[in-house]
Amino acid sequence: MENIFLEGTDRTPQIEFNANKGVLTISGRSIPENSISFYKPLFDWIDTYVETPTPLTEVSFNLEYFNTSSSKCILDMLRKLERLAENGKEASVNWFFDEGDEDMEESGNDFKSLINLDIHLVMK
Amino acid sequence: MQQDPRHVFEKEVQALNHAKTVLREKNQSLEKLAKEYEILSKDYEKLLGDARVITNISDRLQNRLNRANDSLNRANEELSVRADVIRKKNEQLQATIDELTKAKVSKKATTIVLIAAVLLFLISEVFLEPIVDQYFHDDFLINISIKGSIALLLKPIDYLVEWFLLRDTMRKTKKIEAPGAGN
Repeated sequence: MENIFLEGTDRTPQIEFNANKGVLTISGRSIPENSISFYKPLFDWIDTYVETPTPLTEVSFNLEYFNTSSSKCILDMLRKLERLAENGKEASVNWFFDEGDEDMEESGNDFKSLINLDIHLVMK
Repeated sequence: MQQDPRHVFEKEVQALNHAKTVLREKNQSLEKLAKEYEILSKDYEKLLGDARVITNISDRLQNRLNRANDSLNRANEELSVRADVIRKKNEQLQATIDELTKAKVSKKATTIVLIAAVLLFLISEVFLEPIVDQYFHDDFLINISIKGSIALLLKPIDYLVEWFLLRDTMRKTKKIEAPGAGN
C-alpha cells in the first residue's frame, strides 16, 4: 500500500503515514474548514493498514492546536487503531505537548481515558 | 434521517438509522431485539464517551480563545496608551518646530528690516535732507518728524516681512508634506 505524506499548512497538519515502517505521524495545526474531507482519506488508509499492519505500529500526535471536529476525527482514528490490538498487533501512541500547555496535556489524558490503546503523554 | 457522508458523525447517524429500521420491523424475536439493544447500548456508550471528550476539548478551546482574546485586548489597550503618548509627543514636537520656524523667520525678518533701516537712513540723508533744507530751511521739528516717521515705519515693515516669510515657509512645508497633493 502507498504511504501518505501531506505537507502541513496553516489550517491542516502534516501527515506522514508509512505502512512499511508502521509509523503514523500527525503534527502541526488541525483546524480545517471541513475536517471530515481532510481526515476521510486518512481513515480509509488506516482501514486498509490495519488489515496487514507491521508487528508494532508507532503513532505520534504532535499537535499545536486542533478544533472540535478534528478532536472527533482523532477519536475515530484512534478507535480504528484499537483494532490492531484485536488482531494481536502492538500499537504505541505518543501524545506530545509543550511544557506548560495544560490544555494539550489534558486533551491527551481525555483520549487516554477513552481509548483502549497504549497512549503515552510526552512533554516536548 | 438524511445521511451526510461528509459529516464527522457519519457512523453515529448510520447506527441511529439502523436502530430506527429495527424498530419499524414487525414480528421480531426477543433474542434479535436483545442483540440489537446490546449493539445500540454499545454505540450509545461510545457516543457518550465521545461527547464527554469533545465537550471537554471544546471548553478548553473556548478558554484558550478567551485567554487569547484577553491578551489581545490588553495589548490593544497598551497600544492605545502608547499611541496617545506618541500623539502628545508629536504635538510637542510640532509646537517646537513651529517655534523654531518662527524664530528663524523672525531672525531673517530682522536682518531684512535692518538692511531696510540702513537704506532708509541713507535715503533720508541723501535725498530728504536737502529737500527739507530747501523748503523748510532746515527746520528741526520737520526734520525730526520725518526721521521719526521713517523710524516708526520700521515696526510695520518688520511685521509685514515676518508675515510674508512665515507664509512662504508654511507653503513650502505643506508641499513637502503632501508632494502629490497638487497633481
